[in-house]
Amino acid sequence: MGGTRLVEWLVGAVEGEPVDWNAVYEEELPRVYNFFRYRIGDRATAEDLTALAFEKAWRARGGYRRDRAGVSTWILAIARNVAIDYFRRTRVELPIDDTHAAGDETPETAAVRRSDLRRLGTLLGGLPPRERDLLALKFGAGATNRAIAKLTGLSESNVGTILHRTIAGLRAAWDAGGR
Amino acid sequence: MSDDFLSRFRDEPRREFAEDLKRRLREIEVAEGEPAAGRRGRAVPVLAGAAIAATVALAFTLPPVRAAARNFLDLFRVKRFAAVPVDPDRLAPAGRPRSEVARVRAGRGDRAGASPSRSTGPRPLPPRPVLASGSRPSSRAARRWPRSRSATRALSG
Repeated sequence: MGGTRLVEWLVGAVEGEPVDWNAVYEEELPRVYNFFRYRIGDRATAEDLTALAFEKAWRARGGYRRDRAGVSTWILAIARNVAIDYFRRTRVELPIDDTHAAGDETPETAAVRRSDLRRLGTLLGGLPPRERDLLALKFGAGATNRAIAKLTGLSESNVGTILHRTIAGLRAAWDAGGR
Repeated sequence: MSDDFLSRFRDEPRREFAEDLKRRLREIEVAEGEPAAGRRGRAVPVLAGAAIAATVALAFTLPPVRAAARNFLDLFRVKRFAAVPVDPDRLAPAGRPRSEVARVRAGRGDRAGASPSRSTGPRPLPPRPVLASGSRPSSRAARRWPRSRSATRALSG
């Protein structure tokens, strides 16, 4: 075993297995993208901010420490900061726009889908920023309550309470909308 | 409570967008290098500490190092000691008055004088010896020196 390989082996023993960043990209891209979709709404803006978050993460990945947070939580924290910077600059929250239509969608189902998206966008747009942030992390990024608590600084039980209350309000508004 | 009306709008990112972003990230990787260098930089202090500890442990397996360490520790090891018996006669030269020595010898100690009913205030100091005008405290100490020396000889002999 050469000296370089010995050092690599020792580093691996101390730091653990190196992160497979290609796998991280494949796994985290949909989560980060949907976080921005739920948080911001507009698809083009969500793509821009997703790209910005990943570029920041890739430049900072040498400083990532797995003993502090999982890589998913780490990237979501970067994405949240990107969203905060975005709102600081623009102070505009756009409604969720239409996604690219699935290939097997009929014109009728596509119209229903667009209508539902508009309603959901209106409902989400009426939420306070904190509640919308939690919903974006929960349903967009698919984060657990524990991960959300770590990201936001709230307690896990507090996250659960806020989400439950918010979802109940949205559910009632959604049902009152004619479905 | 059903929340599928919220989660049904999750969407996959466009393939063109995903591939374009992947290409840009690859360019960042090429420009900035692999992050292994950063990981190695953080691991160096840990590895250096482990190497130093291993070197010290290995050094103590060598006989000359162990002998040197033993010699060094011997500097602090007690090898000889002398027991000094406490005798009231030997306390007098240390500045206590003869009357107090006699009281200690009689077994009464200071307890009677410490009783509140008999306590009448601070105990007077013993009278200071009157020195001749030419004599000085150092000469007085010199006069007592042979007595101390004889006591030391009695202890050691």
